[in-house]
Amino acid sequence: MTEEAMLKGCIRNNAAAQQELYSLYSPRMLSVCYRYAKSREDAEDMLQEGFIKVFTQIGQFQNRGALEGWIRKVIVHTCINNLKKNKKFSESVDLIHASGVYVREELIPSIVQAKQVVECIRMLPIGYRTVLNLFAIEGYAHAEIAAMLDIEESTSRSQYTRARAMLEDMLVKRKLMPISGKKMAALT
Amino acid sequence: MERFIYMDDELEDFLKEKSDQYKLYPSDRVWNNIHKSIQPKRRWSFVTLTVLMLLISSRLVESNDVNLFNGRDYLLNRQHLAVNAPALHSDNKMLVPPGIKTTPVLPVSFNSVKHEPVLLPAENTSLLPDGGELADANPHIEIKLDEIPQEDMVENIPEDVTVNEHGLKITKPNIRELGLIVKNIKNTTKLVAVDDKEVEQEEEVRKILWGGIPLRDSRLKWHVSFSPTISYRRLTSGLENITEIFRGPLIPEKDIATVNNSVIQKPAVGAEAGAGFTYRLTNNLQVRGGVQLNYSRYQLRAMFGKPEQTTLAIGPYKDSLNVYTNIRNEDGKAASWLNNEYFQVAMPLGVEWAILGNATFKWNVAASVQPVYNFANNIYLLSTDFRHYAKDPSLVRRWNVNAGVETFVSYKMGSFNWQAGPQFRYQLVSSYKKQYPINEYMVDFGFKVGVTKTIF
Repeated sequence: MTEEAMLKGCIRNNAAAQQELYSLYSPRMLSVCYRYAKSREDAEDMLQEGFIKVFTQIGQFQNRGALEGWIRKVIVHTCINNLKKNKKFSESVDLIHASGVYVREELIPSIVQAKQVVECIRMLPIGYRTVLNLFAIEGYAHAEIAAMLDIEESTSRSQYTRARAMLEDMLVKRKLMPISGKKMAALT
Repeated sequence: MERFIYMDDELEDFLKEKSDQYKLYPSDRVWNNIHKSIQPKRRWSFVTLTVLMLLISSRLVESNDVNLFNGRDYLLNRQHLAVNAPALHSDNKMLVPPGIKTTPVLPVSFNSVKHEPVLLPAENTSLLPDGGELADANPHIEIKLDEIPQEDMVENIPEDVTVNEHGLKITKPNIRELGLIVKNIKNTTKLVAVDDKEVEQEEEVRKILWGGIPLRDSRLKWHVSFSPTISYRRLTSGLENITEIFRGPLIPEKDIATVNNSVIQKPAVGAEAGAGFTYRLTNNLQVRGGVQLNYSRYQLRAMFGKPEQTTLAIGPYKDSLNVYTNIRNEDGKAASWLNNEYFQVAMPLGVEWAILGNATFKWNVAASVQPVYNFANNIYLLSTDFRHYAKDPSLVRRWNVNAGVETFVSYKMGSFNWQAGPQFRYQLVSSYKKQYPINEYMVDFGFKVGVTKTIF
């Protein structure tokens, strides 16, 4: 089924087209949700809610840009709304414990690098993680992030700065991200 | 000031790259919940259709039931058909319409609840004071009634009845009016018949008052049934002609004929509900027809992997459909059972033969042919290389034909005939269109429970 046929089928509420679209995009979208969620189960709940929105709002997709990009935007917004609904951002423990995050060796499974990187991202406190996901991976500007999360733009910037530093530290320690000799010399 | 090891772009590009590489496959429940939320109508439509059909059937049976009333109920029913009541005199005497011969009349009213019909032998008929012609003392009916409230309105007296202070004299009794007349009489009185036909009419009245009109053994009966079923399928393959369009390694020829062994499947529970007519040809043979809703399903073992392009071969075996699917028949993760479902409306036509038994208890066999229309389905098709499952509703037939055989015991209770017994149904034409080289034949086993009711 071509993307156009799939899209038309979904707009007509055709079950076969909907399942085709879901099968095609759900694996990647679940990994998006997984970066925001506390657990696999929460991620699946976000995915379910997100795709219900995709199917009910697909008539609004006006072929401006890629379908996957639009679906991803819906999924990300669903994740953020879910976190806000469950008041995850109000947990002040994020900032208090942020400096004391300790990554234990046995928590990071020795599988492919991508999974390990994602798991490192998930190790970050929820506030840091969310801002980092939105800015570094999804490509939102700090002003947009501030509007989405109901925070100040300066807070978004500072959280990203701290998240990035923490993540770099984890990635380097885990040797998940190489560091060149020139940079090593610069650091020393 | 914090010093970063990497420039902003480097880290961000790295994170984007790794995030895009990482995929997770959701469990089956996610799609099931999504599907239920956005496609609730199909399932409900089947349930609604079944319930609606059974409700209509039961209502038709109820409205055509002429054997459940007794004399009391009949009189009550007749009450509702009464015409406008005539006015009462101030002395509580009834005004009788013109043309009715009268003498001072008894005040009349009715009791629509408590009267009890009693049959007594003929008595002295000289109570009629007007000296008019009396019929033979026999037969007649004497009715005793309880006290009735005086404020009750009266009902019209039929034209063929004269009323006097002692009772009624019927010239041309109308059996159906008789009940009405009885209701209008306050005191014990006599209804004197004047025709010889009254003997027969008396019997009719007795029947009306005492137990309802016995039914004739009608040839036409109404039938409803329900059966839980277990559905399965048999696969055959015509793939030997399309080896040139396979992707990937060719399947060894010995495996082409064993498509049933290439899949893991198991039967699942379905149901059927039907209503229709049976017509008795002879004492032991009757034909039946009607409408039936079938829900059939079985389950496939499937696994999930990354979305891949696969092929559904189509006829005349030189073309193919490319589809994307992440559902695999083998070599995947998160194994799960998929439901393959058919929602059908059928019109079974068949015969029933009573092999043994008596008027009450019989052993029967039956056979039928069912043209079937699939109004909804949820079907996963096996790919050409047997490695994937994909959906393509355009390859599934809408129309099909089933053949069924059954045996059952029947038990007659009044006008109801209950039956129960096993049944077997086989699909005669493949579920898939000719273009798709794999053939599927559905098989259903069930235990049917049904009831037949004489209509008239």
